[in-house]
Parts: sequence; structure tokens; C-alpha cells
Amino acid sequence: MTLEMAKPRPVWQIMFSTHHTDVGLLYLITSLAFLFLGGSLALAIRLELFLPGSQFIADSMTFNRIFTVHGTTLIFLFIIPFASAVGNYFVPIMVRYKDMAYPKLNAIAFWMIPPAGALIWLGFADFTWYATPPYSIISAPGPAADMWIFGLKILGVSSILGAINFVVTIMKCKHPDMSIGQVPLLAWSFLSSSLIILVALPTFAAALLMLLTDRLGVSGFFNPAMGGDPIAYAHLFWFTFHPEVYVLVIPAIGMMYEIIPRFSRKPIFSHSSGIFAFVLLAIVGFSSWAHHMYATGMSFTEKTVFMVGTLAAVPASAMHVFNFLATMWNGRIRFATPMMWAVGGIALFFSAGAGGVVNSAMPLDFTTHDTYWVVGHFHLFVMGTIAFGSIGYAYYMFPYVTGRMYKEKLGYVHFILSFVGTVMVFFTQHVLGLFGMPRRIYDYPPIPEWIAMNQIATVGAMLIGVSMAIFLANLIYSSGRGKPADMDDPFGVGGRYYYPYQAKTPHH
Amino acid sequence: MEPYRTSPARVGKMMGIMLGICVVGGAIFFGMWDYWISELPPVASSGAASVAPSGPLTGNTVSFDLDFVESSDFITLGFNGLPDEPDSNPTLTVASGDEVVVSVVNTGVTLHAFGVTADPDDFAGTLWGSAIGSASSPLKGGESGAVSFIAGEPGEYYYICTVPGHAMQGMVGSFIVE
Repeated sequence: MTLEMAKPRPVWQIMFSTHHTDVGLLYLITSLAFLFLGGSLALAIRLELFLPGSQFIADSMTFNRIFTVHGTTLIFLFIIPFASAVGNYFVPIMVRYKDMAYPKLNAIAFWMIPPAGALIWLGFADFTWYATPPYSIISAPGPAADMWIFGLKILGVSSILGAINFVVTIMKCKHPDMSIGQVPLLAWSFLSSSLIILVALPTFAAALLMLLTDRLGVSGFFNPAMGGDPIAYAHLFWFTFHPEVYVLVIPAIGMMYEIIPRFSRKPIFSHSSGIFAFVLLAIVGFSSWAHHMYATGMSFTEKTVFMVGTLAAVPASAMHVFNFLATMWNGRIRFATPMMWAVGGIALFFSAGAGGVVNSAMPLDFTTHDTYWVVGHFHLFVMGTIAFGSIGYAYYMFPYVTGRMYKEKLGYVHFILSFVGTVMVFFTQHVLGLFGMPRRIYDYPPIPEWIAMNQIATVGAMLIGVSMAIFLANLIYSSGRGKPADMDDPFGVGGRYYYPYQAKTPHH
Repeated sequence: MEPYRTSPARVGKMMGIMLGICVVGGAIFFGMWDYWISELPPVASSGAASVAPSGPLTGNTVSFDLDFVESSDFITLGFNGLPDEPDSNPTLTVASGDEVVVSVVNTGVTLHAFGVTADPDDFAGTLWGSAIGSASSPLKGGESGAVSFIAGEPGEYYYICTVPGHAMQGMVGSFIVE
């Protein structure tokens, strides 16, 4: 299915290949499959909340299981593998190397994902993606909870192996004529996000082991009955997962850096400020984890430190947004589908960032803490920015992967429905949070404002659902019967592309 | 060189593989729906309650009524009264083998639960099936509950509120088995 081969190969040859485009293809298909699976769970959640009372989900535990697997799937099995897919296709080409630095390690990192996905989906644990202790230790039923812990453990190892591979490929295998400052911004985004993974992830890996031994009763790190402290878990978890949100968003920004100059038919406004902002984000990402925990009784000084640390991410993000806008300024912009997704992503990135400033201000945080505001804010980032950048890039690389063009009109419809739906769901959820609706609840009292806003959100979610069905149909139809693409310039915008189909032919 | 383009047959093959995985996975998942959440974590059963009494049953039934009482600032808590009041945390005395009936009323506004334990700090180690509610499913304000159990081996035990921290704040009394 990949293009660097002159003729088709048996499927098993692609599956067990170590070539970077083959592994990239596996990542791509797996991540898109989990996008549709995880997204259908989101629709179930929204349908259940359409009215107060139980609609079609039998009990609160089933509801908890659904939103736990929804979050785990879309973060760990869609966003991260999708970024790896893009990185696998493009990073070796951008640094002009024949493959990833460690091809076998690359294939191993991919092949950890299917078993981990099977563990998470077969078990369907119910303790939220945060694995809330002490509930996760003393009450969460097994084997689902243990399977979730092992699944996440495997995904963590996979991420670390992938990150090592990206760092070595970019730092040591780039062409000798190319200085690190000349490496394209998409590759830079993988370098900085991989460095974050290497520093942040071991903490959560340790916390997962502690969670497991606590469940077995041989330790009591987070079990208050044995003198442990659940707040310690919150620190360990957020020390990994606040930097992790930058791991998610930085490759998406890198993808926008590839799309926006291409369709604006202008070079990027400032390459070096993009690099600077990536590195800055990677560093300040570590100074903000405890802003998730203002309500746990921290001292005023601690809260102030983390508030300032959080706000330090604003200039870096703003530099990216400025860079995008300055690149588009006076460009001859062609609004093909990938460009529409990237521009929509910028708009929602800005909105989500503004909400984040409100969250990080500690007095306002107490109003929004654990309400639907947080759900809206987080989703505006992961859906509005990260998924928008990723889906735009999926359209952008579609002709390179299949040799065919997708249906442009269906792409427009997909974007418009998704954009309207995203605004309807997640902007409304911000307001819903200010009206006091707690997050992670399965039933709610029949307050007229809550009902109205939940119904707006559900209708928006259905729009996204319809648009994603169109996306799926477009992907399937166009990869088999789409118009053959002009492989040198599929979008008709000219300029110098990175052509994945020109990747070096591997020796098999 | 004309690049290779994906053919409908290849796409069909891929869709077949993916749908096959979903069907097989779905069959395993839904076929074993109850199995996946069938076990409590080992730590939950490590402080297991011993339900059976050691000696013969006496045939007597002893009843107690207890109220969960909170101070207005929630700093001190007690049974039937706050710790500095005279009738708070009464000592309950029963004989080994008695059937004990405890009725509790949560007269406060926060969450409470009842249990007899060997150690006042061990709110997970409820003895003889004497729990009313638990830390994870406690009685809400205004709710009441009752339990009947058989008192076990003679000794000095405690009855506490099994919500973590509440025993330390004063919700603990002596439970003597003679």
C-alpha cells in the first residue's frame, strides 16, 4: 500500500517490515481505527447525557467504563500513534536519512500498541484515565483494572522506544550538510516532544507499578488505610501528564507548520522562532504540573509558583500562533481541506489557550475545578487543536500514502460539520461548568439550564459523529477508487515538498 | 516510473482484516462481559472479616441505637454526642455468641459508615460482618441503616465510623465482648 514500492507486496510483508514508511502505515491505520472506535464511545456518553436520568446505559459503572476507555483510547491509541505515523513517514526524509536510526526498535515500538489496545478494550476499566486512587486500589474491580495498568505500562514503553528513535534519528543521523537549525519544523516538533517523553514518562511508569503493588496489597503508597497518600499519586501522575499534553500538542503544531506555508505558497515566517518556541514549551511544560491540584490544599506559595509556571507556556504558544498568522499574511492561500483544518485548529487553539489562562489563575480555578469547564477546556485542546491538526495532516498525506486523491467536497463537509460541532460541544461545556455541573457524572438533576446546554452539546457531538462517518467513507472510497493523484504536486500549489514516496527503498 | 496506487481489492482486504479484528474482539469482550469486572482487588480482601463466631450461640439478642453527631465546624465527631459531652461514645457490652442488632442514624450532613474493628485505626478491617455502609458507599446525611451480626471471640474491640479520619476525630467507642 505504500508508494515507495513499484509493485504491491503481500500484506504480511508490510506488516512485518521494519522500513519507516511501512511502520508509519501501520501506525496510521491503527490510530485511525482507534479514532473511530474511541469517538463512538464519546457519542454514547453524549447520548446518555442528553436528558437527566438513565437513557440507555444501565448503570453508573458502565458509564464510568465507557468514558475511561474513551479517554484512554483517544489519547494513547489515537493521538500519540498518529503523531508517530507522521513522524515515521516524514522525519527520516526531512533529515535525509535512509530509515529511522533503529528500524527494528521502531517496529517493536509499533507492535506494542495492538496488545496494549487489546488489554484496554477487553478489560474496559472504570477508574477514569487518571486511575483515581484510592478507588483504583481498594475497589476498582479486576481483572479490568489490572489489564488497564498493564496496557498503559506497555504503551509507556512503546512511547519511550519511539522517542529514543526520533531523538537519535534527528540528532545523529541527519545529513552532515544539514545543521540542526536547518532541520524542518515538523522534525523539530518530534525532537522536542520526544525529549519531553524521555524526561516525563518514567515517573508515570513508576506510579503505575506502585498502583499495581498497592492493588495487590503488598504496598500502600497511595492507600490511606496503609498510611499512604493519594495526593502523592496526583503529583506523580501530573508530573508526567502535564508535560504529556505538550507531547500531544507539539507534533500537531509541527504538522500545521508543514501545511500552512505549503498552502499559503510562502516560506514559513520565522523558522528560528518556531524552534525557539518548541524548546521553550518543552522546558516550561515541566513547571506547571501542580496547577491540576490547586484544590488539594497546597500552600499559597506553591500555588503561585505553579501559576506563574503555567503562564510561562503562553508566550511560546503565542509565538506559534503569530508565526502561523504571519506566514498566511499576504500569501496566495489555497483553502484545500488540509489548510481549512489547520486554520480551524489555530482558531480553536487560541480559544483553548484563553480558557487555560483562566484555569491557571488560582482564584478562578476553584470555580472551575472538577466541573464541565475542565472537560470543555481539555477537549477544546485535544479535539480543536490536536485532532484538527492531525486530521488536516491525514488529508495532506493521503495522496502520498495511497496514490489517489480524496474527495475534496466531502473533506469540506467534514471540516465544516466538525468545526461547528466542536464549538457547540466544547464552548457549551465551558459555560455548563460555570453553571456548576460536575464532570464525570452519569445523571444530573433536571435543572433547565443544564438540560438545555447538555442538549446543545449532544447535538454538536452528533454533528461531529456524522462528519467523522463522512471522513471514514471518504477514506475507504478514495483509497480504492479515488482519482489518481499527481504525485509531484497533488494539491497544485507548487513548491518543494517532502515526498514520502521517494523514501529510500529498503533491502528486504 | 509510474507510482503504485492502492487498488479497491487492497482496500477491501484491509477493511476485512480490521472488521475481523473488531468482530473477534467484540465477541470475546461481550461474551465475557461479567468476567472482566468479576474480582475485587486483593487488597480489599486482605483485611477479611471473620464472620463466624468462635463459641456456641447464646440465643440472646442485644440492640443498640447510635446517632452520628457532628460539631458545627466538623472538627470533632462522635456517636450520640460530641466527645466532650457526657453520653457520647457509650461502651457497648455483649456476650460472645449474642446476636447484636445495631441501628444507626446519620444526624449530620457529611458521610458516615459503621463497623466494629479490632483496631480503631483499621477502618478497612470490619469484623463479623458488622459494617453498615463503607468508606466507598457511606450513609448520606439523614440516612439510617441497621445490621445484625453475631459477636465473636471475647475481647476488647472498637466500634468506629469507617470513613477514613472520622475515628481520629472522635467517632470511636469501646465494644466489649465477654
